[in-house]
Amino acid sequence: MAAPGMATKAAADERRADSADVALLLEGTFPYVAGGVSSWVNQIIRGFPDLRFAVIFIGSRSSDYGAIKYALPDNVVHLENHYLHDYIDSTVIEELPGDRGLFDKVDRMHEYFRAPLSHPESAGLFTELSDQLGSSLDHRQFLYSGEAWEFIRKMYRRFCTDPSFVDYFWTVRTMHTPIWVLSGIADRLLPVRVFHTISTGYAGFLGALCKRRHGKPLILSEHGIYTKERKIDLFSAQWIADNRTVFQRDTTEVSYFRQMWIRFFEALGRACYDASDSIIALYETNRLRQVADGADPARTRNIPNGINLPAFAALRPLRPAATPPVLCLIGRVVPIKDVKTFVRAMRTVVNRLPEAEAWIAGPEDEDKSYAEECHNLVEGLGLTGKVKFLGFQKLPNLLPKIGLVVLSSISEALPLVLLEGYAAGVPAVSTDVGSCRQLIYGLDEEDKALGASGRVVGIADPQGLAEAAIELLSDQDKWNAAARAGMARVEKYYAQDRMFASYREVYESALSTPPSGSPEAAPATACPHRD
Amino acid sequence: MSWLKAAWIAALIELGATALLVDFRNGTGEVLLFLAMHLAASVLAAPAALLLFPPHYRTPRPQVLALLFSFAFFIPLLGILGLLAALAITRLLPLERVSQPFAEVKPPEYVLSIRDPEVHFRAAGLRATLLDPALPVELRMRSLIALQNMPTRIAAPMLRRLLGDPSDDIRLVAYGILDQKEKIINGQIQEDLSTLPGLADADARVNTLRHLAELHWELIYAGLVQGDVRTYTLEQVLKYTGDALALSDAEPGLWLLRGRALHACRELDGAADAYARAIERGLSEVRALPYLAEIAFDRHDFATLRRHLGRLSREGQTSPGIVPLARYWSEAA
Repeated sequence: MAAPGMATKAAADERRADSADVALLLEGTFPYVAGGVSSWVNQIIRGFPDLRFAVIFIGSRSSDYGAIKYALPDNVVHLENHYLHDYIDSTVIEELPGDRGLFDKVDRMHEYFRAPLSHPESAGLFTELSDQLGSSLDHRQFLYSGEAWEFIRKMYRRFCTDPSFVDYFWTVRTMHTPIWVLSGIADRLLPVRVFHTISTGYAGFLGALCKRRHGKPLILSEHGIYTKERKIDLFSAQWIADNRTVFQRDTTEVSYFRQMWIRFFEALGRACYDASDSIIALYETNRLRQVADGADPARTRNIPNGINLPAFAALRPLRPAATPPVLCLIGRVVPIKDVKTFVRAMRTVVNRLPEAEAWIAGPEDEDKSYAEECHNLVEGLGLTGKVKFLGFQKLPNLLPKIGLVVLSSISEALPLVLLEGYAAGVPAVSTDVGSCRQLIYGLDEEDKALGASGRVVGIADPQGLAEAAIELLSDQDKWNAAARAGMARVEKYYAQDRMFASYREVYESALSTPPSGSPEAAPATACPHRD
Repeated sequence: MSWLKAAWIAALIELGATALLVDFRNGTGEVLLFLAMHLAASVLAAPAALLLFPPHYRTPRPQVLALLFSFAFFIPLLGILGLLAALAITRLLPLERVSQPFAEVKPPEYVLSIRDPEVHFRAAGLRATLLDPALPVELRMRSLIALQNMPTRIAAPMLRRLLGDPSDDIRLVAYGILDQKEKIINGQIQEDLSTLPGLADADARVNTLRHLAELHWELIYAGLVQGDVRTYTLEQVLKYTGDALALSDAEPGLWLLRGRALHACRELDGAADAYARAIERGLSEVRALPYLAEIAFDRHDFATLRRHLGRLSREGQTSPGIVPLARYWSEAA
């Protein structure tokens, strides 16, 4: 096989071991990116000191990541980094005939990914073909064989509604290259007993390949729904070409290359769901979404996040007697957090409560142009001095000084910062995303009876967000009631011991699964939610 | 014998022949001898020159040979010496030939053999599709994408409603479209703000200030800002129009914009005054009439309102949006 070349981060960060118990497959998160998912990964690793973890980090380019953001726990015995866009093509260009039979199977596998329910007979083809990614279907075959060329031509004529074949050809090439990079990673992976991926996407696809290659169980824990988030990004991405003329354009039709990218990530997700033995969501809505996207309902379950209660409860006595008029957004300054809506809301808050301040506690280096937009907006709205960008902050220092945790995100799963704020006695105002409604108003009747631990507002509604924050900050009784409800809710439902107990069960079940000598494809899922 | 030698011999023969003519005494015999030697020299010189010239001068061979022979034969002495000189130049000073990697190719025939996009027929309108959460998300998404291509002023209210949609995908795409539209305007505002302090020329400052006021107004007009942010944005419009008018108050467009901003702030007297100034400075009165009519409506001065709208109808300048209004008020009279 012509092994696809990969650039890896300097070995300084890396750790090496001959084997491990659990391989964590992490895309763009722990240990190089600080945030909710990274904190969760850190928490899980530290929660299972008896297990030896191997961290397989997958990133875009090594230059996109700085130093490690977390002190690596001792039970991380192995860390390796891979960067998909630092891929260096080291294959030698040569004319190859290619295997027509194999490309026919590739064709049928694509039919399955296009419409899984119409082609259930092809569900096992991914297993068969993934085994050949290192041999008769290696990267050279994809790049240089006559059959690959014929296959691309055929697909273009059959499906493509964009006039540019050149763009089509290069889109196909660029899009599929990571498959061989990931296949190389799977081949060279150290022996482990269980694979655990924290998302679908590239990491999830690597999990599917590892499961097929090594026959060990695969666990998928999804926080946000990766495919959905990618889809949203792709709908508004500016870099995707659209060469249709005014006569070819149908205003209701998404451009073909955009559709291709969306379908690609759907296929990666589908491959991961098909291969996973255990599919874990944080809450019911996301579990249903996984099922709608092709996950076998029998293999899905919910395990909500939990936090280290005693550590945060210890902060309560440090709070001043009067509630500080400080609204704090704890999170990275990135578009998905919609920091701009928070800043706009502050225009109203400051008009009514001139002593109020907004703090934005989170790193700004992930999307510098967005951070700049936020700073400009602060200036443009005359809020300089009222909205402060604090950078990354340690929560124990921050939480006693603030009056409200604000979450203006357009997408979340089960945000830890709300729970951490509750535990420290701080109520929250959040947008109606992910499980925030359940975290603030309660899930079932018993939970709801605890009261509202804050307010929920619509996304991108600065006025609504401001009104809710003003309501709580200007009425001490309401604030106290919300703080009490938050403390009661987090203590009752979101302690990390509950989460660890559930994960111990998942890990023990996976670790006791005998290795499957010849991994079989999981049965295709007949899902009533897809057509 | 090499061809170079042949060329030299030809030259010598030619020189000999010429010498015969110089020392001319015996008449016809010498002339015939000269002709024979000259012919021999030419016959020798022409192929020698042909083969000694660089290859790209040699073709088409018969014609080149004929030319060289003619040159040598019909220009006695000078022809052959000229050929020798040409040979010397081409051999001693060869032109550097750069290999040309280009070749002429025929223009390709472009065949647009793409699959025709599917044509979707739907009875229900865009609005109905978008606002019905019971319909499949895929279908609603198509309508949402169509909305992306509409003017912001028309699309923004619908997109705002969709921010509260039960489907995550719809909500997020609607947010993305709104955010993108707003980002473009805010980007232009930032650009203008960064150039403004460096502008010394009054005209340039007025232009930039006007542009800033227009961009802020665009945020309001397109419905991209709400609540206190809208109020703040209106204040910015007033600030920038005020600054621009302080530098040059002769621009009717700026007064009109200021009037509309004041009107949006419910400062009716200020707005009426700004419209009046715009008209004084050359704004067509007909253009200001709808705004004046609106002020009259807000003041509950219905007689004035009727008068303005009536005049607008008579001038035949009513836009399609105003026709029913004008008709209603004229019927109510």
